[in-house]
Amino acid sequence: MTIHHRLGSPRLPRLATAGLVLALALAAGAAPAAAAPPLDPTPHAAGPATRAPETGTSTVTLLTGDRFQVDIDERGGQQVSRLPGGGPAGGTFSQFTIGGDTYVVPSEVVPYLGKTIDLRLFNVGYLVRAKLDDERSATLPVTVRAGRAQAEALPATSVTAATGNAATATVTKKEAPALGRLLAETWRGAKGDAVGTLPGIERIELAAPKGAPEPPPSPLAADAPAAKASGGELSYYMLTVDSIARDGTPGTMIGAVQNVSDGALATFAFTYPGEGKKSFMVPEGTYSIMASVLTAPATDLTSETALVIEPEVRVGADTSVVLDARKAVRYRPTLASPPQAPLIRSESLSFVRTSAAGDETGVSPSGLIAGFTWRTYSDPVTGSPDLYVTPTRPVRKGDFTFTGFTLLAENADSGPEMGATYKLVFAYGDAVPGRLTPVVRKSELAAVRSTLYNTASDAASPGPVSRASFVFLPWGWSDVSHGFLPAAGERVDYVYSTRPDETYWQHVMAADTNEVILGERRKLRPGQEIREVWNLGPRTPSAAATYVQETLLGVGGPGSRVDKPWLQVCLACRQGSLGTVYLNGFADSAPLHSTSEAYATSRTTFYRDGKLAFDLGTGGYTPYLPMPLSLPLAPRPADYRLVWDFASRANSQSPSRTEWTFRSGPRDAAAALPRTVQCAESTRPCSFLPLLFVHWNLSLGLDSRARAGQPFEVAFRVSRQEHQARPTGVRATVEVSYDDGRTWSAPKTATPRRDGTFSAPITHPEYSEPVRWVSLRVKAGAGDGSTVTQTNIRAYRLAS
Amino acid sequence: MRTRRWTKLGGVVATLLTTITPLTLLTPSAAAASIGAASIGAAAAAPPATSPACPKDAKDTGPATCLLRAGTGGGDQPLPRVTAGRGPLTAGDLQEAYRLPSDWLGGGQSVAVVTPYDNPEAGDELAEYRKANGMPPCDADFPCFKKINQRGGDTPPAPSPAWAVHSSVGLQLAAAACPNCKLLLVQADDPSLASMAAAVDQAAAQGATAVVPMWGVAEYDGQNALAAHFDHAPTTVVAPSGAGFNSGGRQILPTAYPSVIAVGGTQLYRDPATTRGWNESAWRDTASGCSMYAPRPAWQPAGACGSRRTVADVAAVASSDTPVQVYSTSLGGWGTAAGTPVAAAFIAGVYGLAGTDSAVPAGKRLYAASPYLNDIIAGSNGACGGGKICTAVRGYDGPSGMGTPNGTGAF
Repeated sequence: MTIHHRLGSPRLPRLATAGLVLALALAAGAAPAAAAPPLDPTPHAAGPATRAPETGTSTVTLLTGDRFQVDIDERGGQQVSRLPGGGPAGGTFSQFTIGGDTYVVPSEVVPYLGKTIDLRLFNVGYLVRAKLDDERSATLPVTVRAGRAQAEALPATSVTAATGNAATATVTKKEAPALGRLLAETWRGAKGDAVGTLPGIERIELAAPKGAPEPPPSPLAADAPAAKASGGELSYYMLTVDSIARDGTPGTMIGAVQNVSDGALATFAFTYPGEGKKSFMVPEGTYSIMASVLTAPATDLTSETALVIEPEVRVGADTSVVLDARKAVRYRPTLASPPQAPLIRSESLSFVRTSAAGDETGVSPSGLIAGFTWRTYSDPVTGSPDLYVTPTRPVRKGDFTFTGFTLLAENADSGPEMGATYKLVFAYGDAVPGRLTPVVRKSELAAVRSTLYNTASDAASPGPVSRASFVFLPWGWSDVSHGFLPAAGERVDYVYSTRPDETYWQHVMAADTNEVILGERRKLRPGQEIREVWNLGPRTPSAAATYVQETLLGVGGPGSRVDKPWLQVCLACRQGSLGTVYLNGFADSAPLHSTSEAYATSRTTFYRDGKLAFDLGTGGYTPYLPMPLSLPLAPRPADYRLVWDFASRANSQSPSRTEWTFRSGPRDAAAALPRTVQCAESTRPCSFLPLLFVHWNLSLGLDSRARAGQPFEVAFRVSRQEHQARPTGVRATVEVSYDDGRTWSAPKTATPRRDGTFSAPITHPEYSEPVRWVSLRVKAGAGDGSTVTQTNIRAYRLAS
Repeated sequence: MRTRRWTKLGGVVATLLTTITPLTLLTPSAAAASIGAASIGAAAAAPPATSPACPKDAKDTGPATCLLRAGTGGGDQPLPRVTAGRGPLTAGDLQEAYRLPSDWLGGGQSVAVVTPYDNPEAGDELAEYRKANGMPPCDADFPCFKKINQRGGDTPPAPSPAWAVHSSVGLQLAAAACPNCKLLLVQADDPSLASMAAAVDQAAAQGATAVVPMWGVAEYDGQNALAAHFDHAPTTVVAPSGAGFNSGGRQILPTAYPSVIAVGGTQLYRDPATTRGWNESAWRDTASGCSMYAPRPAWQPAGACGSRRTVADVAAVASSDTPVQVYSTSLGGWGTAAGTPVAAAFIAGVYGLAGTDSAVPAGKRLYAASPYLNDIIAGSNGACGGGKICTAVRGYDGPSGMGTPNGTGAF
């Protein structure tokens, strides 16, 4: 597993590493990115826009008896028109749309909102979706926070059940105008604090019928979960949980009990290495009971386990639940066309139960340690090669996600003998299906062909540390492991997701120097094949726009939430008189690669019209959490020079110096950024700072060496930052040094090649001990006058 | 172990890996290092921080739930008073805050403190506390301290420095409420509930007016078999309510037994702006909740727990933010204490001070005596949907029960 830390938010302060470790151990972690994202180009399953609209015309009768015609078009658009008859409002209504749903509020209800009556009762879009329109329901289901007698005394209201101070009831639509009149008359007769209240009635709330979708949250804070809002007293009952293991014997449980309205009300654990039958006093409500049921305590590695999930257990009296592992099904995905080589299998299951209040329980996709604890992780080392889980139904309250990860590696799961790997992600989503033995066809795999290089060095390279991947799902991310100590050279890895349109992949290589090189985050389609080159040539500043949400791993689970993996911030842009530049860690030959490098030296200076304007001293670059440089720009067009000297701690013998010059003014054209990219200050437009970037494209051996005494093409690419148009009118020269930059050759003009790169021929001297390293310098300029001078000492080595 | 709120999945891991929290007894040097400047008598600083005062190793804790917290820092001298009455609270502070006629009452009464294992220094520590707080010494003229084992004999059980603070705190807080009471230390063989029960029986047999075990054991199915050992009217058994709201989804024993007066914790500090002169609210870490197996006593109002017993009944100061002053060799001399055992020991002293010889159960008297209690109406110890089982409100509530002593009339 690779662990690296990058940007949490463009403006988040740096976190102390020690605190971070502690936070991860305690699973606090960094907060989700604070930056406001641009419009999400990848709709998720939260808003009405993603629901299949109930197209057509419906009639809806409200709590007050007022009747409306609701027309819903193919895109979910809702048109509402009043029908004659019904309530006492006399045609006076308030209508508004929030979250894609239309609310129609009769005037007699207005004083009761936020106090006594749940605004969601007037969400006509939801009432149609919940099949509570007049065509499909003659009543409205409600919860009346009152004693049974008071609830039954309400006009049109029939109580079906009552506990304590809450009654489950229905309002008969035909008789609802009487309830509307009561509201109007009570309002007219009320004074002071009594306005908006009904005597004896605390609240009337919408009760979503069984099988109906979860109603969207009310726009009014006062309509939050009733018990909290009302200050009412919840009743406490005993919840007893027992289990039966897969072999029919009494089980041992590791898991949790969670109140799905709000985990703060009750969340309890069955602790490692497992517990038997256990009781808890819990407040009335609905609970998710999730446990790995083992045949013996987890310290016994021979114990068999199954994940048993009862995501919605209603507790309204003393309740006993038995988690029966015998109902679990085996998780065992396979390849339709497996390779000849033996496959080493490693699997894990992720499930996350989220309460309506937002607290989460379970094993997140990247919760490796949590997976070990819950025994939802399986590989030959754990002694538990098979995973089992009980099927579930979609939950009605809160959220639930389930994911299976299967990792297959040819011959070995690490080391030079490791062949191709297969990273299979089964993003099942809101329920555990009844069958978990999918077969993945070859045509469904995406192939990632990569070439791994070692870093130039006098010593023999130990070889790459890893070649891993991150996968981002709408509900979490994971470091899909495998790939430790791969051999340098060519390899192929396959990836697969059941949701390719919602899954982003980011490949990673940890070089032999332990520098972690990160690739782009992108979707990979079934059958797609891509080629990647890693760790070729010396480091130069990355041209990649910085990802706003970083992947931050910890022992207890994800230290960061990444729900917008595609969200980037402009690398170098101007807003007003402020230039914001992310000195994004270094790229290799791929301009959009980046790294998280600790530095041996780093110095950044900034000049305006030839005068030093900003000197960051040695603190110009912070590994892991790079903060943007805030460059003071003139409120008029001016000439600028930015210089960055850098040497990484892992490879300090090969320092880099980048010197940019450019001209910028406050009236520069606004940057045409994709919707997935924001300016540093996301609410205002920005313009690009015209920085040029050089990335080497050298023909080196796998140990980053070239033949001495032979002709050689110094090839490189000159580009702009990501998302900016390619530079035009580029001219470049190349200089070479064989004495670590003390002396340089005369500049040689580089010629453009068909593939957009530049090249300059040189001839290497014969190998000798003092002349074994090659240093490179490129001076490039674009037609707009911007220039870059990129110097890399000890860029590569000559082979003896 | 109840987790207050799990917003991150790793919290689950932490909880899953938790069996019983390792408890650490602060050594004077370690504590002094940790509290830093706070211990150097800075007048504006907070009292020394407290830490769990129980064995570090779970196997030495046994079935016990560690409820007591202690802090060091005073050495040979009582800790200086810090900002505007925020403690550490002395015996005089407590008597004033709770309007106790401690100089006048309590003669002839005895209060028993039950702790596991032997504290050889308990008598000397009590003497130091009494001296510093202006109480008469326990000597031949006023033989006010006695130590026995759970069988009533003089042979002490094995000593345990890790548990020793419990007896120090228990005796001194009982004395703080009732300087004129005789104090009986009954040292149980171990922290098991069975040994506690035997020690409580012994205390009652010795004629104690009130008895207070200083620790607790989690509720379990079958606990009613020992219930009779904690029902010794007219001896009143009081016990700490525990730590945290609905901790682990259950309560602790013996406090959950209906016959026991469950004592919750408050935060108390001097506040001249109030009529009382003291500001008191429910302590965020005090315990409350529903017993899993004990029925609701007739005198307790039905609430969230329905037919089950609700913890707590009454309260007194226990907050680690407003700790009490104590003297213990284990703390290197003068230090601070917090936790509901502090409150329970103090309330046991109040029962001794009241010296009521009534056939009416102590609980029934308590619930009918609201005029003699400070109603605690602020503070909460957890999330319960805003209910009074975890929120201090007017009248009865879980964290503070019926309130805190306002004189001895309720006891």
